[in-house]
Amino acid sequence: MTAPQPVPAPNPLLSIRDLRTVFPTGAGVARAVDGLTLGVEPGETLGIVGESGSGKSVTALSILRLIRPPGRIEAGSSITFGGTDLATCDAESLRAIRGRRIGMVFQEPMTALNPVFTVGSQIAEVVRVHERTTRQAAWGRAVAMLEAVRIPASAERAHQYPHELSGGTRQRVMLAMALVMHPALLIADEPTTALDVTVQAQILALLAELQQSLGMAVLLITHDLAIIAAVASRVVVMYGGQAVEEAPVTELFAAAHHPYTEGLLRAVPRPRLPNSPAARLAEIPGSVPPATAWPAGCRFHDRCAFAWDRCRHEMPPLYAISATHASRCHLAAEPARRTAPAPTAGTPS
Amino acid sequence: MTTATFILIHLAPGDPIGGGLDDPRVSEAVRAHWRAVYGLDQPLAVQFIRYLAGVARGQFGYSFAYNESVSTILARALPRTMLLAGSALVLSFVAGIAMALIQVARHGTATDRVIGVASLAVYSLPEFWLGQVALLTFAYVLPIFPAGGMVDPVMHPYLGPLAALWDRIDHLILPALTLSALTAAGIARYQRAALLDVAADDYLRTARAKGVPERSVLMRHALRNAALPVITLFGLALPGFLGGTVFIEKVFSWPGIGSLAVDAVTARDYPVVIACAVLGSMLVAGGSFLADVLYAVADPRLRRAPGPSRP
Repeated sequence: MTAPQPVPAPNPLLSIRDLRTVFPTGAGVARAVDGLTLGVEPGETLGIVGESGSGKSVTALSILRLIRPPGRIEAGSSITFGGTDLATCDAESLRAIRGRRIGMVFQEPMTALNPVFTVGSQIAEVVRVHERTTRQAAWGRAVAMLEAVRIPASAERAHQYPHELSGGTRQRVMLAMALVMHPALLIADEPTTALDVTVQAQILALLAELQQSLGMAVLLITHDLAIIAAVASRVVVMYGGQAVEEAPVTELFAAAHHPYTEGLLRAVPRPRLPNSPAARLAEIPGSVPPATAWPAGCRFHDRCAFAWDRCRHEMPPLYAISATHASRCHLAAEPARRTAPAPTAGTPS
Repeated sequence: MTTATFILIHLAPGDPIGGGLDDPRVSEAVRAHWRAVYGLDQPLAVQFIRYLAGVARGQFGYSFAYNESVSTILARALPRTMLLAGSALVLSFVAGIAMALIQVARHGTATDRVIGVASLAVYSLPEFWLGQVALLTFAYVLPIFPAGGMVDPVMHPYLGPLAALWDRIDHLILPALTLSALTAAGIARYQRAALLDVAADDYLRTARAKGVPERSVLMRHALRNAALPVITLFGLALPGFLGGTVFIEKVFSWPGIGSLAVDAVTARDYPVVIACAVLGSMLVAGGSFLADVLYAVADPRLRRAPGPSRP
């Protein structure tokens, strides 16, 4: 069971290798993403799931090099997209990819749109910075895109400002902005977290539909396993700035291997009778340690019910469970330990 | 405003007659005669009522010192002041915003700090001192610019149209630069702070993610959002700016409203003083109004929706 990591598919659209993104802080260097490797295939939907502080949003921002200084991507990281290493390429090559080949949708549609420009002009701007075209042509593309994201009366809506639109409409505008150049990859960082549940469902359905019609790959970042279950084909679970488990979505839900993933799955609310003994939701004890001081060994060991000595001293590699399933847990090497859990979970420090 | 100025200027000792007719050989009878002619022997209340009655009819009275109607004098001086103050205002906004953009684009570097220290230094100087030093430096020690006035007093009538235009510009540069330096320094400081304030905003990250060049991120997306504090500054700075105009006009012998007001106060030329004060307050009120209009232009969130759908 100590085989190397699963072999990445031969032709990934995006290939992240050993990504390390760090932020100098007063309390030391925060290693927000610490050695992440993953690939996105053309046309697939890869979900990245994890709780706050796991490094998933920093991963999304790192891909387009949107990390604000003094945060930086460490040398040795590589983010290969269409033959270009986005981690090291010059600013102009990066700019030509941003918005044209890779679109991005952010969590907060309220603040992610510029309040002083009409939504039409903000979408048309994407066309105009990437193509030589007239104002009118760019505006026409913007209106057509607003229609494609199902905004009624799109020609009039294009003249409106973000504050005149509802949260769901704003997020549709963000989608239109990210997709107007028909990118090969869409990065969606918590695209529905700020929205009402019904609007969430509409946006996710729209996203799936546009993915079909445009044939693009989607990298979906969320803390919500229900969203992953609904739209992703493959999942990477992140914890402590690392991938801790990677699997096709059905396999992850059917047979999660990493104790952290198991904990996440148990923490998903399900309808239960109000007075049944299981009415209280299971939770993972403790919280994510600060990125300035990851624990030695396995980063999850002090919250893990199975942790033993090896976990405290030796960082587990990504063990291959099958050709498509990997887990960063020593249980993969010593499966017998799973049947005899430690008497208590580690106490939160 | 009119009332306050009227009372203040009459509280000051002396009267217009003292100024021109204080020769001891002029007899008290002659002075009394002229006071009667101008109505200065009446009680203050009567003088005030008469003055107000004139203002209500659009007449600001006659200047004691110039023997001309106040309207004529103001109509002559106002365009000159507008030329000087207008050029200085445009110059200070262009220069101030440009300095701030350079500072923010080079944030944290030596360039940022040098401009920062320089603008703070200029910002702390009084206008009249800066004006006199500029005059001494660039008109006397290094005679690049003329020492004052609006045109060359001797040669101007004989110059061709182009040379005459240049003569005007040549006389305008030094006072306009001096007047704008202070305001520009203030604007640079405010604009830099406002730009750094929005620098962490999400929509700038969105713009970068769209592939917008860094230059446009700053000049288009950030600057537009950072305009509001600077527009506020425009409204607030206008009174100080007009005050500065008074000093600069006096130092550079610029025959505008500022010089006029200073001379009128010295000569106790009551109607001119009041008219200048009223004009000044109108300009300040107009400036605040303009700032409010600019607010709505800069920020669509402050515009009232025309339709009945919104309150």
